[in-house]
Amino acid sequence: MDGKATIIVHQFGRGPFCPSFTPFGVKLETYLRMANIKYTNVNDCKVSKKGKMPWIEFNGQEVNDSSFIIEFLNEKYKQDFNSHLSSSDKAVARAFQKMAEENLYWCMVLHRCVYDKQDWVCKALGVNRFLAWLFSRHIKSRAEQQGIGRHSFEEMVHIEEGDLKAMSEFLDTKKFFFGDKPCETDCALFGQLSQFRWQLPGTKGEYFVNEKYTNLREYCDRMMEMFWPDWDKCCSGDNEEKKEKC
Amino acid sequence: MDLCLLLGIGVLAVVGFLIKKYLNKSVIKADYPKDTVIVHQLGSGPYCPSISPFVIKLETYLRMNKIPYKNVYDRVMSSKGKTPWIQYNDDVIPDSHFIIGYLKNKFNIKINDKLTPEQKAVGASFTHLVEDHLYWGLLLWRAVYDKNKTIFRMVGLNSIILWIFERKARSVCHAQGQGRHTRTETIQLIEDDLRFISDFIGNKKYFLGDNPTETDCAIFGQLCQFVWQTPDSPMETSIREKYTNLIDYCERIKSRYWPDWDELITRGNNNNKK
Repeated sequence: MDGKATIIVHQFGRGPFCPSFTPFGVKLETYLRMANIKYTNVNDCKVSKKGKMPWIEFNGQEVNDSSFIIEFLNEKYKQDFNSHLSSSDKAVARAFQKMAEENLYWCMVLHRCVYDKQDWVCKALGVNRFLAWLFSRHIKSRAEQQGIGRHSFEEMVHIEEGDLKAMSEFLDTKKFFFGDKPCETDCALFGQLSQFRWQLPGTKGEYFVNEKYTNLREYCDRMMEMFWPDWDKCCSGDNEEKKEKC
Repeated sequence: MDLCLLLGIGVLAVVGFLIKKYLNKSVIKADYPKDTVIVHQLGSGPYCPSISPFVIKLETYLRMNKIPYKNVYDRVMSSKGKTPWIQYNDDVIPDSHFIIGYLKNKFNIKINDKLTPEQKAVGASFTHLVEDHLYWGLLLWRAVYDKNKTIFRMVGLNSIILWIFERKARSVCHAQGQGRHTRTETIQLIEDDLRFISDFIGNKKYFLGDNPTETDCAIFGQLCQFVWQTPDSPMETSIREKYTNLIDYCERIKSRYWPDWDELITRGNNNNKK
């Protein structure tokens, strides 16, 4: 790949305390930065053909789903940031990524959209309560169909803690999940954990990462410093002018 | 006329709801043996004792830990709308994850005690891989992409029920996320999961080493469906040609914990169905 490709990342918009509201946005941008691939963000809230965000245009070609996007770019740029892992470690990496993206993710979504009593999302996104309520019903229905939404709040927190404890115990004192060097899987895990670290205020999820399993907090800070020196500029904070509205 | 039809449907829905509530209550109050785990489940599968990986997981756990149990094939759903679920004396517990947590405490199960924290963490992550990712591929294959709907036909579901079930499965998988991918992408995702699981098991006897643990119940529950109950699928071909250690692994667990396996399967003969 000669590096002259035009890559446009379509996503939701900057979050107040993370560069994206969606962990998959943080995952994808962290990967692009790890790979030193130039890209342009377009915070247009436009969904892909699969109805999801983020997605990219690669020289005008749509590529959707963050994992498929990374596979596509790995192929295009002939790189693989997991290549130094043993085949057993690659399997473990896959397992932790799926745990974080297919299970822990839903706990984050439920905290934010269904159980949040502070209306944090309303305030952060600038949406009215009726729209937030509609969206909450939609998310609850989806979570029920996925399965985790059928549990009580306490059961969900139990499941969430199980995942975070497992991640904490596997990470242990390592700098990154698979050693001293970050790998592709770190982008996915950081994407999910960043939401717990910075964008789930007042929740048990935030407590688990920031106060109970503190090596996860330190890991997030490490990833942020390494790949996001401009983190504060990429967060909208309380600055109304920087807030990206759909 | 339209109003009458709507009213009729409404009455039928209410009656159906009340019958279901009555049936659920009568199932829970039935006179079951004391100090025996009563497992409520759907019924036998053609080539595995159940078409549900979560039933196989739960029964393997009960057998592994020598917990007395009795199956009740009543096809009644739990309070969470899922199966399997259990009764143990006066306690009613749905969901295989919480059932195992309950049994661990009740029977003081120590099967995971010799694992390091890292091994337990890896076990937990693979359990999620197979139950929160691979499982959806299994559902999509059986309900949507398998043109013959082989396994569902073998358990006696007719074409109308299959049509309804396909619509429902598409909707549920779309909500979960995996249903938004194409058939080719879904099969690739399944294949990738199986390859990674095969790579991790390698030459090991059980998932985390020489001794079976709780993780083996979850992994076996899902894998046995692919090894024996996805006939004529690309995944079955891949397992037989490339990931033969998955067959060896499943055979090992089956021989150790399911010596009566062949008595519990129907082979498509619904006279054998429980």
